[in-house]
Order: sequence, then C-alpha cells, then structure tokens
Amino acid sequence: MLLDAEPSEEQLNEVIRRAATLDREAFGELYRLYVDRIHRYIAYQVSDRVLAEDLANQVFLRAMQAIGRYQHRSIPEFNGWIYRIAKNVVVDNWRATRSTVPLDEALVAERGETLDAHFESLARREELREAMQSLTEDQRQVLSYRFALDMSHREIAQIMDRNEPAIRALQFRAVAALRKVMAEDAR
Amino acid sequence: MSTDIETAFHSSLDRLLRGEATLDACVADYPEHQERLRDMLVVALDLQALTPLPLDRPAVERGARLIDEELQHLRARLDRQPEPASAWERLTWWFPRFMPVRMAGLAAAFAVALVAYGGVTLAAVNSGPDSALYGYRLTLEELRIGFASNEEKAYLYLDTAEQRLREIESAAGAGDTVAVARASTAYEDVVRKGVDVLGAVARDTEPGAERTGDVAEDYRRRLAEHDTRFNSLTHSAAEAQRAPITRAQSLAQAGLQDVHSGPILAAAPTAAPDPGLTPTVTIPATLAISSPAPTAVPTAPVTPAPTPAPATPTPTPTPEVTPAATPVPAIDVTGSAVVVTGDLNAVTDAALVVAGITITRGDVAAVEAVPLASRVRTEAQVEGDGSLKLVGLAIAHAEAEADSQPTATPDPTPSPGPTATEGTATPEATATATPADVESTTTPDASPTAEPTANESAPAPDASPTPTAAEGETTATPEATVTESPTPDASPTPTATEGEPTATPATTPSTEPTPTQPPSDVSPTPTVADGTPSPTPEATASPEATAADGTPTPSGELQPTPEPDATATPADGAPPPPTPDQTPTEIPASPTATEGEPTAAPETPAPEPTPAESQPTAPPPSAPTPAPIEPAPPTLQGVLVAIDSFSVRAGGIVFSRPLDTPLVLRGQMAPGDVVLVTFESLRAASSYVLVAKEVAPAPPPDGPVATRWQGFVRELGEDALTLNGVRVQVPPEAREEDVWAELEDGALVEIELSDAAEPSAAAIRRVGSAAQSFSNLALAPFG
Repeated sequence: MLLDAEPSEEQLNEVIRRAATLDREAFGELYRLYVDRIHRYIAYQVSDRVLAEDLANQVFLRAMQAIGRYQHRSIPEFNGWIYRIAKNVVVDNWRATRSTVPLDEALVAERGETLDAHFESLARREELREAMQSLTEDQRQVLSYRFALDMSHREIAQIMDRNEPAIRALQFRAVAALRKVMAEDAR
Repeated sequence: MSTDIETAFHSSLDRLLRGEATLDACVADYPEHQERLRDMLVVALDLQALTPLPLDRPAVERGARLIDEELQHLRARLDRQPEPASAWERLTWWFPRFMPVRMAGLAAAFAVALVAYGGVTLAAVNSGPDSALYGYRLTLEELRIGFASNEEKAYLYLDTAEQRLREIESAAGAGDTVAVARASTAYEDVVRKGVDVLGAVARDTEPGAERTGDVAEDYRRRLAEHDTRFNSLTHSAAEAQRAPITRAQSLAQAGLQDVHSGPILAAAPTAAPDPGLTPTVTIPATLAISSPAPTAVPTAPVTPAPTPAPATPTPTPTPEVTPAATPVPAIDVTGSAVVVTGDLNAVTDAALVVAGITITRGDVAAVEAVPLASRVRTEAQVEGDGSLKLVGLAIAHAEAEADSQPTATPDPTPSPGPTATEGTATPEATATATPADVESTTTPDASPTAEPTANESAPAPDASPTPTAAEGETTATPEATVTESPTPDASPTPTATEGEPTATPATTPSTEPTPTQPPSDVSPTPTVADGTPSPTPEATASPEATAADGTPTPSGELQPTPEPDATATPADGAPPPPTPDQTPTEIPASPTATEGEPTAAPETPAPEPTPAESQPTAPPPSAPTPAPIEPAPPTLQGVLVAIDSFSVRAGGIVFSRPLDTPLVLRGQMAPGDVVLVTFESLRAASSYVLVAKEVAPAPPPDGPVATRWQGFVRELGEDALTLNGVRVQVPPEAREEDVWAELEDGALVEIELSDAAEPSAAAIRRVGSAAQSFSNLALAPFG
C-alpha cells in the first residue's frame, strides 16, 4: 500500500492502526508520511544535519517500541504522540551533548547564498538556537511547531493540549524572551 | 484605544507571513509599541528563516531501510515470546482450566490450597491500574480479604488503600489519567469498606477494647497521612487528574472523620497504637456453620490449620472455608436466598464447592452421596457474615432446569433453617421449598402445573408458605447441628419423639439405602428440637409415594422409606462412601421438625400430580451416575448488590467483570432485585475465579427485553469502538454529542444494542461516576 502524499484521514487512520500491530508495510508508510515533518521539527532545534537525520530515525525507532501501547483515536492525537516522542529525543540529545555547527557547503549551495552571507546567516541562526536554549520547554515547542512545521495555533493547541489563546500567549512570551536574550548577548 | 503588544505582534506577524505588509508598515500601525514590536518581529522572522531543508531522498531511503530492519527484529523477538491473544488468556494461561475433582484427596488438597491462598495468585497477577487485568486483580484482593475475620479485614482494607494510593501516585507521575481514575475509584471502594468493617468491629466489641483501639488508631493515623499525600498529589497532578484524586481525598477525609467522631471512636476512645501489630490473614479453622447462631459480624478467634472434625473421621478433612463474599455489602443480603446451579467441585465435612462457590453444608445431609462433577442445583441462604449456608441440594437435570424458572426472592426475615421438602416430587421441588420461595408458594393463581413441585402447586389458600418459619420455630438450632453430626452413641433404633413420626435420624446415613431402595429415595434427615434423633423409617418422606397416589399428603406425614441399615452405619456415625447405586437425584434439606412437628405445612395438600410429577425423575437404580446433561454455564440467582467498575456482586458473591467480552445485561435491574448471574468458574492455582458473563432479572420479565452491554472502551474510532474485545458499530444517531465527545480510552460504558448479531449501538451511556450512575450501578453512600 502506497498512499498519496496527502492521504485521506480515513486512509491515515487505517495506516496508524495497522502500524500499531507492527505491520511492516503500514509502519513503512507511516515513516514515509511523517519523516520529513519530524526531521524539520528536529532540525529546527539541532544544527547538525546528519545528527538531525539520525535523531529523526531515532524517533521512529522509539515509536516502534511504544506504538503497541498507543490507542489510536484521532490523527491530531497521533501527531501529538509522535511529536512528544520527537521532543524527548531532542531533549535527550541536548542532555547528552552540545550541538556544534559544522560548515555545510552543500547547504550554502542549495540556498544560493554567498559564503559571507552564509556565515552571517549561520551566526545569526546559531545565536538564535543558543538563545532558544534559555527558553522553557513549552516555549521551545511552540516555536518549533509554529515556525518549523508552520502549524496554526489551533493545531498546536491540539498537540500541546492547551487552548488557542494560551498557545498565542506562549508564543508571544517565547519571542519576547528570545529578543531579550539576544539583546543582552549583543551588549 | 491602544492595542496591547501581544495583539499587535500576532496581527503584524500574520500579515508579514502572508506577505500583506512590510515590517515598517506593520510597526507604523502601532506607534505605541514601535521599538519593541520591531525587535520581536525581527526575531520571529529569523525564527521563520531557521526552517531547515527537507531530507533528501537518499536520506529517507536510508531511514526507511533502518526502520524496516529494526521492525523485523522486534517482530522476531515478540514471536519468540508466546503470548496469548486476549487479556483474559494472558491472565489465565498459567493455571489449569477447571477439571472435575473426583477424589476426596483432591478435596483435601483443595482445602489446604484454600489455606495457602492469598499470595500465589496475587503474585502471579501483579497488574497496575494501567493494565486490563487491574479489575481482576482487585477482585482477587476482594476475595482474599473475604477470607479474613472482620478485624483482619479492617487491617487488610487499610493496607489495600495504601497500595491504591501508591498506584494513584505512580499513575499521576506517569501522566496516565485513566489509570489515576481507576486507582482512585478503587481507593474509594476499599476505604469505604474498611471504615464500614471497622465500624462493625467496634459495634461488636466491648467499649475500649484494646484491639479495636489499635485498628481505629491505625486508621486515624494512616488516613490522615493519606490526606496529606493527596494534598501533594492535587498540587502536582495534571488538571485532568485532579477530579478523581479530589474525590478519593474526600473519601479519605470522610473516613477520617468517621473514625474520629463516629461509633468507632466511642468504642475505642483511649486506645494507643501498637506499632508492632502486623495485620495478617488467617483462615478461620472452624466454619461459620459451627456456630449455632451466626452473628452478623463474626469475630471469633480463628485457628490457623485445618482440623478434621472429630466426629467425622472421613478421609476428607474439614476445610478452612469461608465463602468469598462482599464483607459489607451496600445492600444487606443477609437471609436472602441464593440458588447456585453448576458442577459440584468438592465436598468436605463442612462445605461443598459448587461452580467455584463455597457453600457451608448447614443441615443438609447426604451431600457425599452426590458424585463429584455432577451438575447440582443448590439452595443456600446468605448468613450474616456473608457466607452461604446450604439449605437444599438436588442433582440438576437438563430437562428439570429447563422447566424450572428462577422464582426465589429474598426473604426479608432471615430464617436460616431449611424447610420441608419432603413433599416434593422432583429435584426442583427441593429448591422451591426454601424461605426464598414464599412468594411463589403463596401466589394465589399459581398453577399446579406451572411449576412441577408439590409445594408450589398447592392450591389451598391457607397453605403455609414457610412451614417452619411461619410457626415461629427456630430452625437453625444447635440441636439441629448436633443431630446433623452423627455421634457414636446415637441409636439407630427408630424412635419417634412424642409419638410423632418424623424422619430418618441423622445417625442413619441417608445415603445408606437398602438394596431395593431406588436412587431417588434418599431420605431427608430431619431432626427434632430435643436433639434426639427419631428415626422412623415409616415416616420418611417419599416423594415418589406422594406423587404416585396423588393424594394430598402433608409433607409432615411421612411416607415409608426403606429401613435404615443400622449395621452398615459406622460406629462413629460417619457416612460411608457413596456407592454407585446410591446416587440420589434429590437431596432435600433436613427438615428441622422442632418439637416433633412436621416441618412441612400439614394443611397443605399435595397437588394433583401431573404426569410429569408421577414419573420419578430419578434414573433407574442401575444407573450409576445422573443422566448426561447438556453443558451449561453455572448460574447464581440472588439479590443484586452492585455492578461497578470492577465487579458484579450478587447474593454475597463477588464476580469479576469479564475482560474479553462485554458484560451482558438483560432488562432493567436495580440493586436489591433478584437476578440470575450466568458466570464462568475458572480454577486458579488455589482458588476459583468467578467471572460474570450475564446478569438478567429473575424471574425473567415477560416479553422481549432490551439487551445491554457494559464494558471498557478501546480503539475508539470515528464510528465504532471496541468494548472488551468486541467491535461495536456506533451509527450517528447513537452518538450523543456530550457522551461521544467525552469518551476516552478505558471509559466504562453501557451500550444499548440495536443489533447484537452484528454489534451495533442504539445508545451509549457512560458509567463509572456518581454523577453518571445509572439504575443498576450501586454507589453506596459512605458509611
């Protein structure tokens, strides 16, 4: 079974239920449907591309171990479940090691940036990632969902089990905190 | 009016991301926040620019291969661990399925196993509130506590409450809201029962008694500690977990208040705690039936080891048996009738086990004559301590069961003594002669043929429904017990007290017929009030004789019976082992003919015998065993106490809820109603596990009744859910928004079925909290 890039909700429900029984085909399909989102979510917080790829695979390995206990009810709930696993993988990685920022010339070429511009951009991104370390876990999550995965406030609210105004406030406080940290660093 | 900066930020960012405005334009709209807003929007745009590049295809393929390989390894590991398919199978695979126990030695082993009961099974089933087996575990714990004395029960409930609280804390720490709710409900249950039992202990103990004080002080100390722990939990738990935790805490506080200010305090106002006191479970050595007058709350000291009864040196030792019962039911079922139909598992001097339910033998003789594994129909009465006491027993035949409709209703007046059954012609008649059958025997329009029993078809308007009880006689007398137990000096010579023919003496085993005695002629063993056995062979009730001539014959006018073979009676009075041709089809209860009075209603004429009655239902004398019967699940008919999240309680028995199928409810029932519970009896290593499958009103209502299922929700989908392993379709019309939207995994629901063949729901109701209780869910008020 190979689903469309945007499968219907019913198809996706079926894939998730079958994957919960460790059906190889279904789990493979689940991986194909979710790996890019999970990678983006991780790569947003981890500067190393190779590490981000590795962590994304770790998310699916953990999901494989836990999916037998997962009781599927809805797709947003599944999204929340798998993003929580991703969050834990990232947090565990942060606890284990500090990320470094390798010079990735391939990235430069793909973005079409000049090397100088790339360094400037890279420094800015690294500055941002450093600043994000000072945020609370919830603040980091809401920024990742909002800017890496381009989720709406409603979608984030579903995943984080909050209401929409709370998510908007959380995002505002996260950005305000980042501004403050980066301003202090500039001094 | 100025806009707050948060609103300005979100509005501006949305416009920026949609390309509707430039950064400068956005900032210009909010001059009061200009500087700060600009900085924040820049940060937000930088965050947006952080978006990483997507994974390239080789990376995805690498990952897919890695995941697939690991998946195959995982599946291989799981395949190497054989695991039964269903939760119930996972639970029970380790113990043998029920096997008939045919040897007295096995009965002895069973008795020993009962003594050892308490740790083995619980150790094997160590499931937490997140497990499907949790309800089973709670039921096992309830059974374990049921074996203890009341004081020990109080300790055990307190210990169990401690365990429940730990489970709540653990589940809250793990963020498992469902498990928190389940453990909290279980906590409430044990605290309620514990305080109730403590109150019963206090009421039955001399004021200031030291032991009661110990228990009460322990409750005060530990419930106060629980209250503190609940406070911490409430602060740290997630919002969704707080409601059940708060409810459990309220119960702990109410219990604490009760212990401080209720009768418990009055009973033990100055008691000091004994730190060295360790609660233990000791199985009573002597059965409740040994007490001539059972008390509501037995607190007699117990003996730890089984001891064979001195007067009955049979190979079967006296078991340490206390029925598994709800210690303090919300509804008092004391004195109510219970009819258990099922296979006879074991017989000892003191008790018999039918379909896993232990019933003390009471005054019924000749139980040994019934082959083990026979399907029997037993009548019992719930004693004050929750135990069941046998008052009648008959071998159940398939056709007899088919004819016999459950008719027993609870008798509000406890009259534990067995009543006359001599006039009965069929095994069913035995069953209908209990106090529980008052209504059926006094029903004016009772058709003589409606129930093929002598008593029930009695047309006389002045028929005494409960001959013994109606005369105000105490039937369960010490004398009755004395005469029931054969004694060496009992005279085998028939002697009718006061010249009244009564019945075969207890010293003459009713299972010892002459060679010409048909199997059905097993005599009752009546007793007299003065304790003197008055065996009068001619006076023994003979159902066949009554039925044969069709003459209304008061049960008390006993019919000839084969002369007892005194020489065959062991000197010690122990009944000889049954022989194949002694197989009875009817073992009536011992009529306790107080003062020599016939125990049956003398004025009650026997009905005109129907053809069916004229034909003895006994197998021919040569038949060594009862006629083959169709396999049927065991049933219990008794007063419904409660159906809760973990159990079904009826007639003093606690049944576990089924784990792999929904619990079937037929018709409307409420606590206090007489119901018929169809159950499964599973032989565990050291006990029996009773699993209720179906609960129905008894007698069944006329006409079709709605069938409902109760179970725990799994795999909740858009238009279906799984209820204890059974997939149920839920069409849109059955999805009431306020119920359907709030359903969650693990919720206990009740479903009205529109189609049971292809399970489809007509309506869904949620069950499991006081606010959402329904008619047959008893949530007893605290205390």
